[in-house]
Amino acid sequence: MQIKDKFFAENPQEIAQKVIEAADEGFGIVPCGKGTNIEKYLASANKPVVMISTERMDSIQEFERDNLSVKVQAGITLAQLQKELHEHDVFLPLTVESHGRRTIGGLIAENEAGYEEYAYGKIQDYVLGLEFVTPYGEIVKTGGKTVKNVSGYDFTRLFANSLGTLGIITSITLKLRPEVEKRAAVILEVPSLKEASEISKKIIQEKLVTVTLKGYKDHENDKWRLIIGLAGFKETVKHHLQKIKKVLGSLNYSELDQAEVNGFWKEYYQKFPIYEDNNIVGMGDKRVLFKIAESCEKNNLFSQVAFSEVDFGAGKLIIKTPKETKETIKESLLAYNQEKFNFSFNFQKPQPGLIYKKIKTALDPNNLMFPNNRLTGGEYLG
Amino acid sequence: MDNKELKKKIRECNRCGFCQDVCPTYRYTKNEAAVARGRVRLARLISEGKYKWGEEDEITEHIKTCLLCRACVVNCPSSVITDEIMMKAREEINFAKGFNLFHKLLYRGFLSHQERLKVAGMLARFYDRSGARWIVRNSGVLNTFRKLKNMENILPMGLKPPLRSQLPEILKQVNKPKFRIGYFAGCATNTFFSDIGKAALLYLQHRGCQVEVPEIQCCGGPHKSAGDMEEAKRLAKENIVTFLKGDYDYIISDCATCGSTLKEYEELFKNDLQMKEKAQQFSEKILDLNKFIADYLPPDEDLKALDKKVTYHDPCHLVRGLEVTAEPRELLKRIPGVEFREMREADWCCGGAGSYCFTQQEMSAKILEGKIDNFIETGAEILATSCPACTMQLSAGLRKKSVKAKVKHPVQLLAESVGLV
Amino acid sequence: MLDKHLLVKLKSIVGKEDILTSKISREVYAYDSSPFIHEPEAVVFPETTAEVAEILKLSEAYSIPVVPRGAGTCLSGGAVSLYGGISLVLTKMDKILDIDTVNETALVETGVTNLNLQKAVEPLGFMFAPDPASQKAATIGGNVAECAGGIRGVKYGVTKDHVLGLEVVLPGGEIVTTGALASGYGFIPDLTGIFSGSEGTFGIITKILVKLTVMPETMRTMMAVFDSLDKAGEAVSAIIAKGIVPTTLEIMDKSMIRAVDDFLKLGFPRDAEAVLLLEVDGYEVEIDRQVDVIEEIFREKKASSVQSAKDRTEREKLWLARRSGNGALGRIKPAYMVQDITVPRHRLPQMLRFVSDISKKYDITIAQMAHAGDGNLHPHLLYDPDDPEEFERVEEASHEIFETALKMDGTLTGEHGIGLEKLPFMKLQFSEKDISFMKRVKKALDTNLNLNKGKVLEL
Repeated sequence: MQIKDKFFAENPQEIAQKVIEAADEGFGIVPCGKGTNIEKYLASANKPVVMISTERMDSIQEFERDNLSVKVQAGITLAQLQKELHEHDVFLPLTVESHGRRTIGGLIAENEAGYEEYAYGKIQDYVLGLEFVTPYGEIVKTGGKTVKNVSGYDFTRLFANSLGTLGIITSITLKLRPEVEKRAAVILEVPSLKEASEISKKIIQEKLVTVTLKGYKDHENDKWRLIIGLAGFKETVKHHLQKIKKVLGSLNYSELDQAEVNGFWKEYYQKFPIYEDNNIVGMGDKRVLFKIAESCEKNNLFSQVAFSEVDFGAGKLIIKTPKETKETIKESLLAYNQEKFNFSFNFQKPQPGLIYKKIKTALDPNNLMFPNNRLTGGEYLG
Repeated sequence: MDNKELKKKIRECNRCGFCQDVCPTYRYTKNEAAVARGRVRLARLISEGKYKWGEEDEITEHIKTCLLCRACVVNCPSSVITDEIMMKAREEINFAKGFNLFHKLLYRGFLSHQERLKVAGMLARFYDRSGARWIVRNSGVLNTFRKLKNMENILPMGLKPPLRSQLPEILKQVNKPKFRIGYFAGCATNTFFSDIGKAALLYLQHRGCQVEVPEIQCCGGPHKSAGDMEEAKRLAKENIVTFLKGDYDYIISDCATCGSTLKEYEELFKNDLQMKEKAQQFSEKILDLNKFIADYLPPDEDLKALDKKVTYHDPCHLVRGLEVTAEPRELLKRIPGVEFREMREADWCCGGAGSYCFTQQEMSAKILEGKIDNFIETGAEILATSCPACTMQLSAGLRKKSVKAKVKHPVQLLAESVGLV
Repeated sequence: MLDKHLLVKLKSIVGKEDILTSKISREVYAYDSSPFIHEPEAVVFPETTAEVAEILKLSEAYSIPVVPRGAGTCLSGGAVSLYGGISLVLTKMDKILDIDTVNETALVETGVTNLNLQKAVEPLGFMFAPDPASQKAATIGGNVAECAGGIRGVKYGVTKDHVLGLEVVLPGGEIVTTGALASGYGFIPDLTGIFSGSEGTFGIITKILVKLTVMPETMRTMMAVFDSLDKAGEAVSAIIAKGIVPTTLEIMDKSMIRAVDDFLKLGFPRDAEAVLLLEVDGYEVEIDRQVDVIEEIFREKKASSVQSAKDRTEREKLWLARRSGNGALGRIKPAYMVQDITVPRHRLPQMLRFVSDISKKYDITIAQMAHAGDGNLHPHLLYDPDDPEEFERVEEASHEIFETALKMDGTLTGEHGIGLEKLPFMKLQFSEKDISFMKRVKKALDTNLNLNKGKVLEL
């Protein structure tokens, strides 16, 4: 792999120009924001690449609070944006503690979600409109700034999780939510993961204002903990805390207020950063997740790893493995995933994506945009 | 309705498609031609001159498969009167093509002549009692006439003598009557379901009503549905004259179809200066039997317990014609021991739709099957309803599926509970 | 007429019961709920995904256009067969395959009606959030293809926010899955999104995995009457600005109120200039405080009366009134052109005002109704088809409405689709490059342009 150039663009026109130049040379083009999560993909690129960073395109272009929308350039970081929004009592439901340093463009390219995914979903659910530069160097827009919009095709979700392989996102219009009145959480130690699962199932059935429902365990402490986050009107949060206490019965727990919740997550993600090569992530059908987690516990898999998180709300499993045992753990996990469908791991090779292949071939026939990453480099293109 | 009016009414449909949700024939065909929106569209094409009435057999067919159940009409945001448009369309088709043999035989031959209907009833009775039913059914004679075979399946079993012949034993003088009632004993009640009529008359007398049962003509409902307006009017005139002569407080019918047709005499003669006023007087006195009992008579005090699970089927002509839905249910719930269970889609047409069950057998059978399935789901043992045509159709449906349950008019249960029958 | 061999093959795929070719059948599949009428050459009712795939293979081999169709309630002409060919009616694929309360999802076939899905999940304490006015008839497949909205959109969003995965047959007959049906939610692009609002031009949707929403514990439905449309619009903006997210916020103007009241006889105030229907939902403990804030705003904005629905029946009546709006207009004039422009929410009062002015300027009746909480307006421009001159004025007024909405950073259509109706206006909203990008994606998926050609894009 050879990085020919890293270009810090100031505006979409410059990007368009750069794309055309790079294409003429036959170079690959790698869009990036801060590049926080990109180096690993570059290792195996099969042709010289030009990196185009939107880091300097970090302004808020239009903030229309009464429309609950904001238009930003792709290079603004989540933390920067949330700070501004916070002052106006609105927010984008993607959490700063987990993803604050990343750019909005990058978060869309990977369709990220924060620790409140259970309630709020992923960032793709908040994209109203996009402007992007195509592999041919055209500046194109899709969507708009209204929540309802079926004029022409909606490509906002085509770009979510496209890992920069279809174009370079230059600006984004996001849908916002009014700030919630109150956040709180309950955290407790549970004797086993099974116990945590059982409590979680009950909490789900209670249909509360739950935003987080995660079990986690780290190697320093051999106990599982469960964190249940709530967000909503103050009366409701108070009432639902009572309901949770009822579910917990005689178990000991502690209650966190808003500031403590933020503090908790800050520390959590400092200790267990999301972006690490040794992180195994699995997601999908919660029924399958419950079964996999059960098998992991039965086979003592969790005691062999540095950190484990089971997100009962969002249906995710994160395991931080020591390098030496990573391969055997992968094998075990695959074996536990009896149903094979509706649940997948990040280390699995994706099945060929026929629709993606057709679109990618039409939009970027020479495969210049981010050549050789997870989507463009292997079986996914068929 | 003249042609200009028809065109205007047709154009009130702006094709929103809401009728798909409530149209029985659409449910079972999933064919756009078999839902109000499609049928009205076809009528529109004709009214705008693209086709002619009766010229396209397929259009005629789709117009004839409408049940006239009015479910679309009451659910239509523009209240497009699809039933009236269809009746008008049938009239035009008849005008263009003449009546078919089946129609002539059944409607003008039997229904218009009470005497002949009596003979038919007697024949049916002989046939039922003598065991000929079994012989005929198994010898396959009827298979050559599919329509007749199906009629054979639908005709009720265990016929009693006609109501009219039992009247001398039933009717009596009532002391200080609260109401003077003219009872409209329709063709089907008289011929096939004399039990319903008998229960009604006994119960009404028991509750202090002086009842008379004048000799009548068919109400004309079947003729109207088939687009035979001329005959419908002829019959109506005779009935109006008969009943006005009696000077009754109310004219009561146990039959949803008769009741709603009689109520519409007013509309039928709205452009007839001679008859208009009389028709109006007549129609004002029309009441459904359930409604009369529920709203005009004080609650019963002598009801004995009947331990039955009961559900109720709304006849189209009652729920959407006379808009009577709560009353029959209320009567049923009054009876001690009765466990009332509401049925899914209780107000959906049963597919009987007058003579529809004979003329459109396949569709009718499908709709009926759905109805019976809904009944089975309730776990009830009595399927109450207030229309002889529905009673006939529902009974046939229960027989076909070998369901051990009875179809009864609420008044039969009341009479039973009081100990009259 | 279709080629004889093709017909024989089609029959062998779906069976002779499931294909209609007569003149009269073609007449009744020539329309949807829009003013456009174009006859197909054959109407085909597939019952399985495999049948759909075989039909699409034939369509490619014989170059026969195919137009997918659900209930045929599209308001922009999406379901009419502009170029003849096959009208592919999907209403016989109407099974609910799975309701999963752990993941809070349901897997349905494309022809299940929105209402039937609602009825199936309601006893389990869930709802399918999108609830277009046409929900009684409209199918989930059609909802996805058009990205249907609905009256609960303010709080719960539109169809695309509730679709997790699809099974789709591509124009070449390849059967593919997307989203959670393909991958279990992650790691590859979720191409479900491009099919939402694609108006049946990318592929035939055969199965849909939808997200279910927990049925709210309680709700309050209110009706506020205003003596001007303006004030009602301002009340809406004020509510949104206060940070309250109602489930629904609907405005109806005088003509709409009257037409609906003629149908339902609800005793609506017939002299009111504007009625605002509002619903908030949530938990018992929080709802009254929201209602208080809203009532305060209504007072500030000088509502002439505010009423609350006392029970479920009253509430349902109010919503039936709203849903019946379109249909009920048949009482005033035989035809209408309904627009679906959407503007940023704070521009709503301005846009409502503009439409009122336009109706005066062109001397036409415009009945206004708006999903006000989404900035989505439905001006119904009424006309008599026998009066071509009036129709011309209606068209001119429409044009001006489009231009103005776009100037306000709005969009041509919020939930009805471009279809045939708004095709000529696409270039007002999009640059040549935007449109050519759309064309590239369309051709990538439908190279021979057999699938619902002539909708969304001019090709």
